[in-house]
This record gives sequence, C-alpha cells and structure tokens, in this order.
Amino acid sequence: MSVSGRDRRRRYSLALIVLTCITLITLDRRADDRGPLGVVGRVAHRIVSPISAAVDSVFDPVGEWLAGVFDGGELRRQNEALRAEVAELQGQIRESDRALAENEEFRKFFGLVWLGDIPTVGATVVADAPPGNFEKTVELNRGSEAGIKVGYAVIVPNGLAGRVVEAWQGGSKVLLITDPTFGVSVRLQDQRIRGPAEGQPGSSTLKLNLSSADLSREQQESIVVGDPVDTCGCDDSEYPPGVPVGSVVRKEQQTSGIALIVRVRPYLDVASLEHVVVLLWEPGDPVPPPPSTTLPSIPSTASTATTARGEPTATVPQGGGVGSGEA
Amino acid sequence: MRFLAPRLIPLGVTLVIVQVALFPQLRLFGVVPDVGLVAAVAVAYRHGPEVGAWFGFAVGFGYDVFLNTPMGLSALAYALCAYLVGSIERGLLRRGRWLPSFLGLLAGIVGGGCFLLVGALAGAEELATTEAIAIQAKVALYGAVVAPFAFAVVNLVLRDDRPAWTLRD
Repeated sequence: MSVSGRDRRRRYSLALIVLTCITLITLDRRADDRGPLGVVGRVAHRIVSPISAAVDSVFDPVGEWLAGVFDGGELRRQNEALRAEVAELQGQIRESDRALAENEEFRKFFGLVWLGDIPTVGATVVADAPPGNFEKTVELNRGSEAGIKVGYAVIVPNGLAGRVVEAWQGGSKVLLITDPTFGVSVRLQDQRIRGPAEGQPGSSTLKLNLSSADLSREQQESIVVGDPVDTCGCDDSEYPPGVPVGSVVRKEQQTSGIALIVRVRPYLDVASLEHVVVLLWEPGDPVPPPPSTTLPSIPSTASTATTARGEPTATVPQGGGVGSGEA
Repeated sequence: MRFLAPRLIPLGVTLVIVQVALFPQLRLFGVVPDVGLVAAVAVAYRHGPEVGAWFGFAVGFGYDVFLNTPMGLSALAYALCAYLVGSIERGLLRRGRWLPSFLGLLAGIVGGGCFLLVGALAGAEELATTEAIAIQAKVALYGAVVAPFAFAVVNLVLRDDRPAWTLRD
C-alpha cells in the first residue's frame, strides 16, 4: 500500500502540530506564568483588554437579555426559592440589626481591622465574564502600572475575593476564590485550627482538609456550621493573615477516620462584584499590627478590647496577624 | 496554502478577538461557544485537513493565551478536530443544510472530549469532572447553533475569486 506524497505531508504536518502542542502544554505547566508564554499572554491581554471592556459595556444588556430568555425557568425557580429565603431572613434581620449597630460602632474606630496598614490599590471590575468555560476570573482596570503583581491578594469589604494571576499595563486578571483551582492556607478563627483550603470542581465551597490525628476530640466537636474562617498567613502563604475567607457550612468525617473535611463557603458575592482592593503585599513582607490596640470607652457589654470580629487585640504580638490575637 | 494565508490570518485574529471579547457576553446555558473550533472545522471542510489543522492550531493557540487552562490545549483540540473533519469530508454522502450544525456538534464533542482528556492528563484537575463534561456538552450544542453562521463567514472570506490558473492549491 503506497502513501501519496500529499498524504505524507499532511501526516507530517499533523505530527508537527501535535508535538508543538505537547511541548507548549509541558512548558506552560512547568514555567507557570513566568516564562516566555506568560509574556505572550500579558501582551495579548494588553492589546485585547480595551476592546474587551468596550464590547463588555455594549453587549452586557444583550447578554442579560439572552440569559433572561434562555434561563427563564431557572429564574422562576430561583425566584421562588429566594422568596422563601427572604421570609426566613426577615425574621433574622431584627436580631441582626442590633448586632450590626454594635458592629458599626466598632468599624468607626477600626475600619477594616484585618487590613492593617498594608498598602492597597483600588480597582474596578471591567470584565466579569471569563473567556473560557472552566475558570472563574474577572478583569480589573488597574495593572502593573499601579504596582499590581501576580500573586497579590484581592479583597472586598467582607473578605478575600481572589488573587491576581496575570498583570499587564492597564489591567490585571483575578482568579476568584470560587474557582476550583483556588487554594489558600486558612485558620478556623474560633478554634485556631489551621489547614489548607482548596476549591472544588463543581462546587462553590472550599474544602479544608484537617488531620484527625492532630486534633483533639473536643476540637473536632467544637467546629460547627457558621464558624468564621480567615487566612492564617502561616509559613510562605501568599496572603496576609487575618483576611476573612468564609464560614463553615459542613463538616464531614472521612470513613477512614484519618481526615476531617470542613466545607467553607466564601463570603465573596460574585454577582455583586464591582469594586475591589488589591493588597500590595508579598509573602515575607511585614504585617503591621492593627492600628490601635486599646479602645476608647465604648458603651458595650464587652469588658475587654476586641476587634470587629470579636478577637482580643490586647495580646497582639508585633509582626503577628492582622487583627489577630494568635500567638 | 500561500494563497489562503492573507485571508486566513485576519480571519483567525478576528475570531480570537470575537471569542474572548464578544462571546463571553453572549453566553447560552452559561457557556461560551468554541467559535474558533467551528471555524477551523469549516476551513478544513472547505480546504482539506492540512489547512484546517494549521488554522485550528493558530486560532486555538490565540484562544489559549487568554485562558487559565494549559497553553496549547485548545490548539491541540482544534487542530486534531479540524484534521479529522477535513479527512472525512470526502466520504460524506449527503451534504444537506444541516451539515454545518452537525459538524459543529461533532466538533464540539470530539474537540471538547480531546480538550478534557488531554487537560486532565496534563494535570488540570478541574477538567476531570462530570461538571466539566456537562459544560462541554453544552458548548457542543451551542457550537451547533453558531456553526451555520461560522460556515457562512468562512465561505464568504475564503470564496474563490482567484483567476482560474491559480486554482491548483
């Protein structure tokens, strides 16, 4: 059986393409964002970003209309579920109002306590629709010209939003905390238990893997739904300590009994993500203590000074966590 | 292929920009279609597997630059898919109006499957899930919807208005 020259050329072409692709994939996985491929990405983003922002503003209403047309049934179901939720929440609002009023008092004195004196850059989300189907990212209007670098943490008033994965002149790309590839070292605030939390494919929660052997029975039982979780800032963590991450929604003991899995729902509300703050903080940078460690006398039931999250601040060590009372 | 290059390059660049700037705003069922893949298949259908594979590689690479998935993954999936469609094109017995949609769906399934499989092998765990398969199925369906338009655009851009003596390519 003879193979014509044209067929042979086609096969060579295909083999060349496949080899090139495999080489690219390998280089990309090994070099991360620092190699020549990362430079290509930054240049391309810089060129396309203004077009993307312009198209975004023009076609956003069209996209919303399309979503309304095709997701009508889903919207109805969501509407019913939300009505039920609203009724339940209204009952909780009265109780929350009292706590909020007290919280507001504290905020007047501390602002975002967990932010400390870390330098920040404010930015606006200019493209909230990721180009691909397997990632949860947004684009910001500030980039390397504002001092933003890859790896910097991005926050919203209620906590961690994500981290910068690409930065170019005039823009940056943020991997959101809800992305399945996101990972962060966290700490259960109340129990002072630390561990790595990772995103989960097909889920908007983070999975916190804890070793049962390292925890006492009391510690394991003390973890309950609603417990707050923040960044631990331990070792070479990419995030400063004390940044709120989310709250515990579920606790599962693995059948082997070796691991305790805690599911954490991030505080971030992606739907209302509009303005963010990028922390110009790198691992190893000093973490300043909270702005004040003593409170003026506030009419409150608390007898000791506490942060907005209720943690004692009088024992904050120098260089310790932002807003953290952890030793 | 040299006669096609002046048309294929602007077409490819435009496709990448449209893919990353326009279609994320026009999501159906929450997904973005693989317009570049469908266009690569259209090029392969019209000009054979080799041209289709190179065009698919170039457009896929352009798209990869904007994604967090491993660089080269879309390029590989688009190129293989275009090569496949270009190879089977001569064996097709019926060429009805539904053919672009069928090829768009086929490309979505084959190209999407290749994307997920190679991605998972390369260590992208988020691609080795049932949710990723469901997303890719929706992408394939959306691809079938946009395929007639993509084929029309490709046919328009690559229409043969060359002198007869140059039609050897």
